Amino acid sequence: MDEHKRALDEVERQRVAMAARIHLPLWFRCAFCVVWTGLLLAPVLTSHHDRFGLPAFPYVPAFALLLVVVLMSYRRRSGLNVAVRSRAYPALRRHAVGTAAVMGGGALVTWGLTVLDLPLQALPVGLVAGGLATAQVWRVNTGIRDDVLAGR
Amino acid sequence: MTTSGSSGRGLDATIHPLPRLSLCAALAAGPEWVEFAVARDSTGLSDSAVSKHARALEEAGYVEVRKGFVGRRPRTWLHLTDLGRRRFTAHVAALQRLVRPGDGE
Repeated sequence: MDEHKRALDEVERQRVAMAARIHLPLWFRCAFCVVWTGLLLAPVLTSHHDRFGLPAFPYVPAFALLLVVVLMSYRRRSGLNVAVRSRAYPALRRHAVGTAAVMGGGALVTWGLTVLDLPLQALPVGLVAGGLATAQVWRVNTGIRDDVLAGR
Repeated sequence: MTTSGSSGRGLDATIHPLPRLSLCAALAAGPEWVEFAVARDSTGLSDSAVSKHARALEEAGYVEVRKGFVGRRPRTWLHLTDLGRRRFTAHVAALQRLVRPGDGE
C-alpha cells in the first residue's frame, strides 16, 4: 500500500513540476505583448510612418521575425516544445473559439482599419488587441496548467 | 484484460518501477516532446538512469526518442506514445484503486 501511495505521490510531484515549467514567465508575456502588438500595428506603421514621425522600415517582416525569436527563446529556455506541436490539452480545445476570436479578430479589425486608411483608429485598436491577445495567451496557459495538475 | 506487461491488478510491469513511472508522469504531463534535460531535472534521475529507463520504455513502445540539434548543440527529445499514454493512464487508475479502494466503484 505504501509503495502504491509513494508511486501516486511521485505522479503528483511530476504534475506539479511540469505545471510550474509550463507557466509562462513574465519576460515571455511582456515580450509577446510588445511583439504581437507590433505585428498588428506593423502595416499601419509601414504605410503611415511619416505621419507618426517614424523612419521607413520593413516593420511587418521585422515583427514577424521577432515573434519567431520570442517563441524560439521560450522553447529553448523551457525545453518544452509547446508553441508549434503541443499535445491536445483540453484547455486548448476549450479556449479554441476565444483564441481564434481574440487573435484573428484583433488582426482583422486592426488591419481592416489600415486598409480603410484610418491609421488613427487602427493605432488604439491595435494596442487593445495586443493586450487582449496577451491576456488570452495567459488564460490558455493557466488552463493548460490546470489540465496538467488534474492529470488531463 | 491482462497483457504481457501488466499484472492482474491492472498495474503495468514496464511502468511500475518508480524511475519509469516518474519519467512517464513527466512526459504525460508535458507537451508532445520534452527535452531530455527537462525530464532528467524533473525526475531527479541521472543522465544514465534516464537513458536506461527511456530505452526500456522505448523497447516496449511506450516512449519515442528523437535526436536533433538546437543551433549547434545536440539535443534529445522524449515523447510518450499513444500506447504509452494509455498504459500510463491505466496504471495510475489501478494505483488509485489500490490506494483508495472505494473510489470509482
